[in-house]
Amino acid sequence: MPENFIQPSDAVEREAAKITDPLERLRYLRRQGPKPPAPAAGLPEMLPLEVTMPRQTFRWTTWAAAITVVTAGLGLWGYQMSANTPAKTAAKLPALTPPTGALPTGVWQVETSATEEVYSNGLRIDLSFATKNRPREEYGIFALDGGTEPVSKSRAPHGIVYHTTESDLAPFEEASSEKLATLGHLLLRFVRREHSYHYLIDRFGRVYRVVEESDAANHAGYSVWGDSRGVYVNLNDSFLGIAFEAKTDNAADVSAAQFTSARMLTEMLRSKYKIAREDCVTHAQVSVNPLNMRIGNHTDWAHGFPFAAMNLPDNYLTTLAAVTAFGFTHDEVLLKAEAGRDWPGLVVADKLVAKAAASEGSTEVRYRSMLQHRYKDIFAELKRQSEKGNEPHSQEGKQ
Amino acid sequence: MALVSSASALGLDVGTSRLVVARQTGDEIRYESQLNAFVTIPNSKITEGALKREHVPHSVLGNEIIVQGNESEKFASLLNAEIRRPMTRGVLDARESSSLQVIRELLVNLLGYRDPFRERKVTFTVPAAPLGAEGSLTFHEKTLRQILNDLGYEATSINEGLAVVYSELESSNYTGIGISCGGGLCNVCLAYLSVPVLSFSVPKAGDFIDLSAAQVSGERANRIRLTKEDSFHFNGFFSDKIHQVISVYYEDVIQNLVKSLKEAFERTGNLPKFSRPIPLVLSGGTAMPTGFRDRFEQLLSQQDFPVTVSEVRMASNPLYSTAKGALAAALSDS
Repeated sequence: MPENFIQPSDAVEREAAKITDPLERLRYLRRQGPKPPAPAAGLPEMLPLEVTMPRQTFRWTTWAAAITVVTAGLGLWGYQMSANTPAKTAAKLPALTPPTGALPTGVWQVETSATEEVYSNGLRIDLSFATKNRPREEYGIFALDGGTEPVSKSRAPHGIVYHTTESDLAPFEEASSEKLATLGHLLLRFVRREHSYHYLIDRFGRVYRVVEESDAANHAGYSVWGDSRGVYVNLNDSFLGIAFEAKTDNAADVSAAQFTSARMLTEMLRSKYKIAREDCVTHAQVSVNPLNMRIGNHTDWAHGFPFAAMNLPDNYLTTLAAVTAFGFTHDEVLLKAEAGRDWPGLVVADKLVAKAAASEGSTEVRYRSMLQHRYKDIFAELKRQSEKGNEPHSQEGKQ
Repeated sequence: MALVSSASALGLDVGTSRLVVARQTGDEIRYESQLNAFVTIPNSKITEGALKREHVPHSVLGNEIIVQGNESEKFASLLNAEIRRPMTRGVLDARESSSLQVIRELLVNLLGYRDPFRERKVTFTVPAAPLGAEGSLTFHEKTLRQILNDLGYEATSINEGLAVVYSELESSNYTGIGISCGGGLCNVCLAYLSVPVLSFSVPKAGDFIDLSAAQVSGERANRIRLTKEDSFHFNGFFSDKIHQVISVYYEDVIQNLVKSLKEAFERTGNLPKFSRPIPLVLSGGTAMPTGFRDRFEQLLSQQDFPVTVSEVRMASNPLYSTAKGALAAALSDS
């Protein structure tokens, strides 16, 4: 079997053979059967790349292996979604599962005033703290198959990054109402001044626009995300930032009202900008540190983000492009932030890098180093452009 | 023409040549298909009125009337024109300006809008990524999903080769190789206990035969296709020129498929070690001519193929097996 192809026990096969109804047997196997290295459906299968790309030079094939690593990971997400893998976070939050009725095919604005916007899904956005920052700039999308020049460019928001503010919190009880309101107000003034996020959801579930969507917010800083289109580096211009007034270590304190508002806000933004579900991710998933080449520089929502409650797939399953495309590593701090939980996308990414290194006859250290050089070249160019434009694109504002 | 679907779940095969929908009603699976094609004719009130009276599926776009689906073939013959396709090589043709409107109209005709009181799942087939066209696959998959969502369905996709496995390989616990030979592509999937291990597509398929044979013979590709589907059989010798030309390009397609299959399996270093030989199933319109299976098996047996194949067999219903597999996926998801 392939290294990352988990063979089922013989018992699974024997049990399947006992099921006479073909549909029941298929259902059983899809749930209990082996986990694949490649996708079942929906997304491009990348094994063909592995088998159709001629091996020419070391460098070329190394990039080819990198494509396979990156996209096989994306594929794993595709399989696990189609196999209805239950989301751990959703299981903990049954009350937050989205309604099962017909989902809206679009969300539109139904009312607007100087202080509030109202949307067709019930979302209300408070505009009283909205402010401008620098306009969103054109950002590059880098190929999965290597290279340091972007293969395409865009200005439209491509995804969403969820944050926690890590700010001071009062107990969520009636006796603390005044303190809760005061802390929320102080926080809003702070994030407005720092242009920290596009949206803030306070403890009561109220949604505040902080930075206009047309502008970049300083929310993601040094960051990397990858999807089937390519790899995105430093996401302030390409992703919108939504922050929960919360602390990631006390995620259980996030209120149901906050999650409900976040779901409606996510629906609105996805509808407005055609944002793919797989591009709605947490800060911990995208944050990187270029100095030590480790992921998880920020650890908010390193675990426990209720993707299912947002009507999103469990994106913790998505293989991290920072690891597979750029060779980032991780350390004990991130593992601690995961609180002992598995982060499947990270586990698979590490395995894929090890496998790609082995298939190239290289050591993992050398292989990662090659990937890291690519990132450093891209990073240097982005930094040069940023300095040229006199805009600190990599700023992050967080209390 | 159904405007509201009454099925509990749907399987949809989105092929370059045909769209096929599979519905389960009671113990029976019913299929309906439409040519994935269209012709355009000049717009006039008289023509539009005539089409309406005859219940010919059509839509109006500016100065043109688009006749889509099965009727497009008749109109192409009448007008001595080539039919146009919204898809090419297994995916939506981004260069064809009418492709989105046509595919949407065809899906409305085939599926109807979702019955709000019934299940809303539809599983549709997508090809494996052809080399160098990964971007177009993303566009294809997401666009189809969007259209189906707009019709009210909860849409999921399945690899075309895997759909063949789900349709035909129940007896081997959904372990084996499924191949769908369609118009634009031949899709291959190796699955182990229902899970895809290796998937890829080969861009030489039915359309390649039609276009190549048309170029050599001077006939319209339409006519080549009709000849191929109506009367062609693969026995290696023909006195008729068109049949002979078709047989040459058929041979090329089969040889290329077998060669690609061998190379793909060989270059994938970590194939599962199967405890017993596995079956291989051929499906799709391009695999239907008599003799195709025999020639494929003959060529495959001449190769040192890295996996032992227990049998090469045709799907029980080659035109509908991918739609049936997609339906199985939709039903097993519920």
